[in-house]
Amino acid sequence: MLAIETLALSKKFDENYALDHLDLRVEKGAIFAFLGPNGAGKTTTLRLLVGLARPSSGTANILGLNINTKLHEIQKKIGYLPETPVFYGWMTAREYLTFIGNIFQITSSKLKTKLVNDPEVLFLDEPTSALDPMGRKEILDMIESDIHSLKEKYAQQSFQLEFDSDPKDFVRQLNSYAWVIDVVSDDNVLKIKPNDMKKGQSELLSLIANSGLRLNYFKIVEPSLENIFIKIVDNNE
Amino acid sequence: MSNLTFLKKEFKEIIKTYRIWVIPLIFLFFGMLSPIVVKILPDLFKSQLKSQGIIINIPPQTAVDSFLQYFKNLSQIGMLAIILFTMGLMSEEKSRGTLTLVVTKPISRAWIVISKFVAQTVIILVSVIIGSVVCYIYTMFLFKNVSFNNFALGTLDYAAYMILIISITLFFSTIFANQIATGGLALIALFILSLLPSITKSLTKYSPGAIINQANDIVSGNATISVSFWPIVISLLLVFVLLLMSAMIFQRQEL
Repeated sequence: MLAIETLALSKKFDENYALDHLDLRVEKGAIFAFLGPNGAGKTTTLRLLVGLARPSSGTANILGLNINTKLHEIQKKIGYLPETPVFYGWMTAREYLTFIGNIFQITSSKLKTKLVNDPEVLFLDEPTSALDPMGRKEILDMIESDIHSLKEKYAQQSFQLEFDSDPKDFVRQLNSYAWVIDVVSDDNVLKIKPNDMKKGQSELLSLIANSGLRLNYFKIVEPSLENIFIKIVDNNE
Repeated sequence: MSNLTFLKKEFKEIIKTYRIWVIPLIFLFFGMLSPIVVKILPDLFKSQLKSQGIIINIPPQTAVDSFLQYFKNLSQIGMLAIILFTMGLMSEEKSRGTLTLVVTKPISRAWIVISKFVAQTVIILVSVIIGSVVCYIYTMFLFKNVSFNNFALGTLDYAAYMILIISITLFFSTIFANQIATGGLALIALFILSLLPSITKSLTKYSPGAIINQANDIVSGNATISVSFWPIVISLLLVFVLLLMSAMIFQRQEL
């Protein structure tokens, strides 16, 4: 199921298109950024998707629910941060969170999570534009922690080693272990993809020590976002 | 679905923005001042004229005069106060943008409008009751022959008209994101309502604005509450229709 799917989604003000037939597919679990000059329709798209405005034509589904007919269901599962959020001046931050939590019928003891209703789809309209550097960092860290859980789900870390001689025999030996998926060698450099990172971490060093090879360096390589993206797309096809 | 969260928020807002003190104070002020003014004005008047060598005979003021003075204040400044305190309910939240976040949450928009109406009606009716009780107590001390029943029924009559004014103002407040436009149109509506009864006989009998004169008749003992039966029924019917329309308009509104 797609997180967001728009079908020729359009918004017209008088004769002008604020959004002109947008077709968009965003997979679940993806972090999808939306770039464009002022007036491109970025905010308009978000406003249509969260129910603040109605499309002039076209439609959209969020988590498989149609924005025209199932808005209430959708609103239970999403979070939305407008470009310039405005709160009640007479409410404290805690009171506001409790107020919003009550709308979701969440008890205040459960409000300690970062996002009130633990949304499945989160819409952020320039989330850092109104924040100071500290706030900006917090938001970006939050998004990054989501990326991190994605990494754990979709992409494995790998080992990278460099020896001062060609480790041919060692490669052959590694390939016989069950926790090793793939070994790529490039001269004296080895890249090892494990299917069990922890087993690799506990066994690899003793194997190296027993091999008699001299190690120049050893590191654990984090997967790149591009790799994750390719992997997710591969998984879905 | 519609839990009481938004209604609670409205009441909390009434408390935190001091409306809980200001609105009752206005009506309390009328309730207190009307009997006093009616009591001392003839004496003031007489002594003023006497110093100029003129002697006139002013009939003694009664409890009914005191109540009529209070009702007059309700029908003028009282109604203005209601419009003033109601015109921002929706329009201010829309122009400031505080409703934007709220309506993206799973809450019924109709319920938002209804909650605002209910909270506002409660605070205003409570204020009017406070004003009337105070007026009654002062009148009781200053005058003789005070009829509680007539005064209570007259106040009740007024209450129906006030609820109508609240719903008219809330209706315009829902349409516009501008308090001036809302207040202006609500005033015009109030003006038309108060003019209608003087146009034809049937309007005198049925239109909500007739309540003003009928309440005076009731308090003077010249009529019973049954005279206002149709104006009250029509007022409450209009309240229902206006609320329904406000909810429907807000449902389709882009914020």
